[in-house]
Amino acid sequence: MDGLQFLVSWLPEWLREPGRFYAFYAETLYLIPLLPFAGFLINAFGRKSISRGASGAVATLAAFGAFFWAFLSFCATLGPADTGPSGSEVEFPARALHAIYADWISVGGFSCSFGFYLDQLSGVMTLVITGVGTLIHLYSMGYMAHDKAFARYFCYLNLFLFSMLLLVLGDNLVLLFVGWEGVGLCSYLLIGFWYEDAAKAAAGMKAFIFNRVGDLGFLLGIFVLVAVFGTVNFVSTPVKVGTRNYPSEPNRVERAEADEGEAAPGQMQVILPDHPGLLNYAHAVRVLSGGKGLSANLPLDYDAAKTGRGNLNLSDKLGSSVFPNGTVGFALALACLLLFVGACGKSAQLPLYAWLPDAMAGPTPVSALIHAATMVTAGVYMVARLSSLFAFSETVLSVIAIVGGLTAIFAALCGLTQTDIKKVLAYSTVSQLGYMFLAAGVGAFGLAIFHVVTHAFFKALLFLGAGSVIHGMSEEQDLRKMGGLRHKMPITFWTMLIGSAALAGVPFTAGWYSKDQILGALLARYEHDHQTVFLILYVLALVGAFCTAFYTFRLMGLAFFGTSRASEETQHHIHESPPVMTVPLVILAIFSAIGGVWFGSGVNLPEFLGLPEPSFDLHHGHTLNLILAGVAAFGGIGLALLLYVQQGKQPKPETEQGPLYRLSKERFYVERFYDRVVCGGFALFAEVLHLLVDVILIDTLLVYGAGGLVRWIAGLMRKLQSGVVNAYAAGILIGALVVLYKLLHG
Amino acid sequence: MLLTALILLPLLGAIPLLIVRDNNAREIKVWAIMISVLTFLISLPLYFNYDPDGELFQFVELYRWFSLQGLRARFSLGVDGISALLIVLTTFIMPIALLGSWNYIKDRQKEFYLCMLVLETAMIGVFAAQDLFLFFVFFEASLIPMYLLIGIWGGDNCIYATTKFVLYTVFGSLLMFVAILFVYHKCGAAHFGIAHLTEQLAQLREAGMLSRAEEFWCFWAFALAFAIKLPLWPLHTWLPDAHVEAPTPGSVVLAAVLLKMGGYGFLRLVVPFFPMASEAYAPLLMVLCIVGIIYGSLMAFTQKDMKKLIAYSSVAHLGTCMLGIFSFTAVGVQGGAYQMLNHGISTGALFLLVGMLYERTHTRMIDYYGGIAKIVPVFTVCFVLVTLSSIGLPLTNGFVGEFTCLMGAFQRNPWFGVFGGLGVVLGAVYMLYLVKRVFFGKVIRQSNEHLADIGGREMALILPLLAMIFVMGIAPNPFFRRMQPAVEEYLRLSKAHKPAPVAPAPRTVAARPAPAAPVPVPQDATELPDVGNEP
Repeated sequence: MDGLQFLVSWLPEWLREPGRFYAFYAETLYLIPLLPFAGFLINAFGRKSISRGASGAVATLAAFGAFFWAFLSFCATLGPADTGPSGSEVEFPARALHAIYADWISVGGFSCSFGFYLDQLSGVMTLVITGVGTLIHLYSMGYMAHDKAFARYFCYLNLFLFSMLLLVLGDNLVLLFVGWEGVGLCSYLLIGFWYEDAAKAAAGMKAFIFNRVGDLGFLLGIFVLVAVFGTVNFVSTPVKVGTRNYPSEPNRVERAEADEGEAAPGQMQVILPDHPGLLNYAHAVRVLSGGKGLSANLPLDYDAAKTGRGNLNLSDKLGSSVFPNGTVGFALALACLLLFVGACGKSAQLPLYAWLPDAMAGPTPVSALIHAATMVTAGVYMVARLSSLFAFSETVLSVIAIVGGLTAIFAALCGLTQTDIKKVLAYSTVSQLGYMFLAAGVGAFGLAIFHVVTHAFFKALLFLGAGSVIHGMSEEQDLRKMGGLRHKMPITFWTMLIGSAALAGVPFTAGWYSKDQILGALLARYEHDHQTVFLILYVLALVGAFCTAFYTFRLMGLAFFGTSRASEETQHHIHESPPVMTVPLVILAIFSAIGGVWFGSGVNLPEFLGLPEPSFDLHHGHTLNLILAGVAAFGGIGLALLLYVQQGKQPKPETEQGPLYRLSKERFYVERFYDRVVCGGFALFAEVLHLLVDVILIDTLLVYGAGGLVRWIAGLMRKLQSGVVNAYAAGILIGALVVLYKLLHG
Repeated sequence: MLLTALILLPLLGAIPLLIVRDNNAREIKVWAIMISVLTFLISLPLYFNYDPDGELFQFVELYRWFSLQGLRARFSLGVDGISALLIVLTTFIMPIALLGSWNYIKDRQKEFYLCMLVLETAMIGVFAAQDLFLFFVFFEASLIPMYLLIGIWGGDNCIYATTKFVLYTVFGSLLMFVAILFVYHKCGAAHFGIAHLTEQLAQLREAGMLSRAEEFWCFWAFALAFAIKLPLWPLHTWLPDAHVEAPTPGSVVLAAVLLKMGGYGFLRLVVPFFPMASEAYAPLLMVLCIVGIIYGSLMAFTQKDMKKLIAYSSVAHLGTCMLGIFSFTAVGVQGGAYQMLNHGISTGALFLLVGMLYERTHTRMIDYYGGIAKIVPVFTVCFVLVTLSSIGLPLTNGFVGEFTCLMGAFQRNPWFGVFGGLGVVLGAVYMLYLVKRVFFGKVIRQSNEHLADIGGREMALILPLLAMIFVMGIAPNPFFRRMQPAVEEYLRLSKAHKPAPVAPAPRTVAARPAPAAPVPVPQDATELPDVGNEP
């Protein structure tokens, strides 16, 4: 141990005790996103001059560097308190790192800046993104080894990491939006990575456009918040002490003294810090509107100074002129609903989910990273980030819960019958995202993020496993042509089995910890005030859990058990993937297996995040739920094993299937509706409009019509130009007389 | 002297072209490009030396011009932040447009470069003029070279297009001219100085001498001229034709600068002159903008010709821009002015890129292409980057403009923000659909297999534009800062007719009342103490 201690003592102090270098880590937060960005630049501009191996290595190292720095920074938030610069008496809690680097847009009273904020929530997200991201980069080096556009792939992948890190680290909504659109762009580029296939390029476009619909909601949500609070920052701007950044103090809540203002003695008053952020406002409004703030009927031109209840002042904002007669509660609910529309787009919730299944056109590691582990959870992150705002309105939370619940069951039903291995996982992702929003919808934001984390482990694992299968099967994705792979691809099989168990919710796996708690929270929510809607949602979620377990093990059964249904040629080539691919699988499998114990019981992630808690006891009615959820999970697994392993059942051709099967296989015709009715209708409408308005109405009737009118008048006038000299002479004479008359009498 | 020099330089530079012989094509091109580069360099102080804390109008010059029958016009020049930036945009785009014509223009080169240089003079003049008469002269003068550019070097149907363009524009200008004379006489103005006329009109209004009807008629006469130039829906149908038929450099200049005269006219003349009518008709105009956004996007989606698609996208983008300008909010107007610059850069770049494709294949039909990303990868990257700017992706200039315009519109009336925001979605639809059809998929035409990727000269054209796209997307503040005084003046004038200011005083973050912060409570800001339950 001496040797080890020697090594540790040799390390620089900032590496040994990050917590003591709080300000240093705050100011270097930018390194986390900038490392992948540097990797992107190297691969973008140097791809011609560096070898394939080097470009993969650069990208992977950039991702790992980001992870490393994120880890140190995260440790810095956990360490002992930084006593601040010498001479300062202020003690700063090392709970969050916050630094603002530069102004970005400041115009007409609105301003936002480039600043990063790392607290428990964004820290956990950052670690997941960079950690899982690094593994997937590594895996990609094997998976994409034979691709022509190797460097371009890593270039996009690093750009994605950069954008995703901007998204979670941004200290204001607009910067979050930058990342939000940035990941959308990368998703577009990576889904259409093999652009020579027009269908894949179209899938990329579809993803971008569906996301844009949501983004419009997001933008409008930002506008509402700017109008009401005049800021987009999450928290108050950091205090500069010397050159160092320390977080500004939070709101203070005090009891009014008897002689203070008009406030009654003992009344609560809130003192906001300088430059308050959205969360400060949310807190202040909650305190001032009394109770849990669920009926925030403060007027939009509220000025607390007038009542002596602190310094919350909304009257200098534009809220009251934008929403005459509106209340803060109304505006907040509106903003949250609009933001949630954005979340629906990014996180593939009904009705904007349809792009995600198509997104499977991208390379499989991309599906693992972007369309399972990280990007699609951005919506959940955003809701959690602004949870103090979302917690205001029961209505908004109910909407979120209903959308989440419907998506969870809908996608789970779709997943039952898919025959493409990636499509099964895609619908599963949509469904699991639904569970996350269910959690958020009952006010258990911490649980939602917990599920984001565990889901990132096991879903990335499952996708990478599927990638390994596809790789081994010579690019075959159809489950009907697989089978019997467990002997030929043992590592893939065992790791995927762990992932499947986690997804299905087998007790003590990562997925069980999070999903079981979400179901429990739903039940507790119902028992809290007996709203039927939550009972229905609970039942739906249970059925969804059953379906999840079923389709997961159906996939396992079809791919790994029974006898191979592949062609001779393919069978001949089946092989276990190289270590560069299996090592990430094993690491993710470990996390999928024990991650729940670690984060659920050990750290207790949901509480660690420090997000607002619901007003009721989340763990109420836990035993009943434990039993029901267990029955659902094991029932689904058992049925799948019975059908697909015991009986070796195979999907029949679609024509022989019943109507229910087809309804599920065709995803309830929703996607077809989008393709045919919405897209077709849009194109037809545009064409008709073009013909009617531009060509016929404006150009022919108005423009030519005006021309024709001129020609007609000219035709009349032309008759004057008769060429008869006498007529001209008469004209000249009359004219001369008129002028003469004017001159003499005028 | 700077502004006079800027105006005269291209004109003087055009003179040698009159004398030189036609067969010295190379020398002619080099000369014209040198002149335009020199003009650009000379114009740079307008950006660097414009002091946003100083006087509103800087680089002011004033000379006698003519006085006729009581009409006293003066050669009065000066720039505020907005016109300074528009002039720099003009001089920045011009060398690019000229270098872009290097191979494109094959016949009558001498005349072509002559036209372009004269056009540059006229455009700079429009933005620099502080005398209404002078403004009108330049405004009209810009029409002549453009008319020739489309008519002589245009496509097959160029005569139809150029006639339509001129008739539309002249129709508007005529009405405006009448209104200019009316305003002049009505005010009993001493001269045509724009600021002077604004002041006189305000005094008349205050004294009750300007009837509602007079103000409204004059407003429409001015507004129509600029709405046509912009073009505002439904006065836009000249634009697609003009763009399709114009040679690439003509399209670039038309989109980048000429259309901006419309927006500039609203900012500088229409609203300051007639604030009451502007206030009354702003909602109507904003509705037209929104119709233009949605309609232009839908039309762009249906087009088969790339240039026409981009022309319709201009209708949509300028709709967004004017939505900001008519919002009469600080954010919106700044955004609108910014969006004018953005549109100049990104749409100019798009026309340039389409022109490059045209030079290679002599067609702009979308279905001729398909899958060429594989053959011209660098070109594809450039096109996609410009597309991103066009659809307003954050960190490109398009986002900053669109975001601020829509925020301004939203602050005026949330519904304007909602419907104007549809452009965000629709823009992505038609642009990505274009990219997909041209660049992705399989190569469908054998002849496209050997397309040359972007060359050195072409790279030199597109790189400055790409650089500006990101510079203006990442660091917009230096631009906003310069435009701020002009925008504040615009807002002041637009509200001048009201008895008391209704809008809240301009706020800055720093100016917010802040309580003296006592000892900070050591607690993290996100972990807000929940004390709501206490009595």
